[in-house]
Amino acid sequence: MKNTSKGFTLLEVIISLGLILLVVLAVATLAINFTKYQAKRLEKVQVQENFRNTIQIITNELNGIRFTNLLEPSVDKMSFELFFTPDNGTTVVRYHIVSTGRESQVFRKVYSAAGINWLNSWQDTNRAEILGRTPTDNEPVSDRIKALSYLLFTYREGMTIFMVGELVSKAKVSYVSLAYPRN
Amino acid sequence: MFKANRTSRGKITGGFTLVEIIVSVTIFFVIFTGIASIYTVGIALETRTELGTSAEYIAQFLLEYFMAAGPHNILYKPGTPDPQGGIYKPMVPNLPPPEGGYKVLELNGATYEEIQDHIDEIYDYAANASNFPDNQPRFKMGELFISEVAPYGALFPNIFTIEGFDSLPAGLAGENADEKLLNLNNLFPATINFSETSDGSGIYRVIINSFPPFRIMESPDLNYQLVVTGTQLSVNIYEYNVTIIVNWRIKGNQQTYEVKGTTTYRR
Repeated sequence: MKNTSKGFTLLEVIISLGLILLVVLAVATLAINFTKYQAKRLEKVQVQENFRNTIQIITNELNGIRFTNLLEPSVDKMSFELFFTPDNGTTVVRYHIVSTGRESQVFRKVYSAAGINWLNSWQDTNRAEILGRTPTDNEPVSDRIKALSYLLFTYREGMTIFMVGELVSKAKVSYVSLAYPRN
Repeated sequence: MFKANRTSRGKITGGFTLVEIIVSVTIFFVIFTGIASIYTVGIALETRTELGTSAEYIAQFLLEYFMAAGPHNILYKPGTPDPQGGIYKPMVPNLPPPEGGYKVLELNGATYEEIQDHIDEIYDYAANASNFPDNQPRFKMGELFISEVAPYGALFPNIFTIEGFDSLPAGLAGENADEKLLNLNNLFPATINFSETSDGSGIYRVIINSFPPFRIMESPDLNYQLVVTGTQLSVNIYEYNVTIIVNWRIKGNQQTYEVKGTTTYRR
């Protein structure tokens, strides 16, 4: 008896399903990789924005102080922390970074400078004395940044502020800005 | 659809028709082209975004530089004698001035009053047309100054160098200066590098090779223009508006960014 019914053989169905599966796998892999890449990129951009905002805050304050009121770094030096006295010796402002695990946050602390003898060397004597005091003001100036981060200040012909961080993916992010205390 | 001849047991005895083959190949081609197009467009968008963001960062950095240095520091060509007898020198050796140069004040040992006097002198000097060969003032309060476009085909590498640090920052791990220098560099991406100016001199420099957030693999065709105006707000307070226009072109992608900033100066 002649078979006149039309249909697909098992082999055709398997080949078709295999081809469809290949296409779906390729598209899914593409989508997953793209999502991962976007997530990494977004993380980098978020850290970058945090750096940018933080440095902007520091730069704005530095632009309003006199050169002579900078304590650390001094001329031709670099330092991981910034100290200055905005009011000619009554208080000392400190910007520094605190890292916990892979998270970092920048703080602005204000210390009373009452009783400090400014004739003493900052590095040898006054720095330790100020850091031994409880800050009268202690506020974060950045979000909790998801990167092991560092601040670096260099002072030569103006101040350059660097902020660098290493993400969980080991990628490094940085932001650089300039500040010229001048008025 | 299928016209393959089969036996009663389903064995294929024929093949696909020409129409079926053409339709299948067309569908495959459409799917392949679609995926390839998504890839291509995605990569092009990413590249464009990264280049655009970098151009924006460059514009922002230039603005910060010129605002921070002050309009009074962008009026002279490098090498021009200053009113106090010194020589103006650029802080950014590979960055050409848009018009005239700029000077970074040498502040070592200067008092606040001496700095103020020095800045005042520079303003007065810049406003006096007879000080310049073309008999044109380089800056005058209340007037708009627009620089010529400064083209620069190869901004990278070594865009920004600061030299002359006599020590590394305290708190670095390492038993000697070399180890400390290595550890300092390890904190930074490859685009920012610290080094000694010469062996054993103990003087350090930092070179910023590129701008965040992306490393540019191609040499961009970049030019920028500087616009400065000054307004006297009161007897001794002046306000300056600085605009940086950056035009950036690489592999047919062109971006223009304009960033503005305002700074005040007390005389």
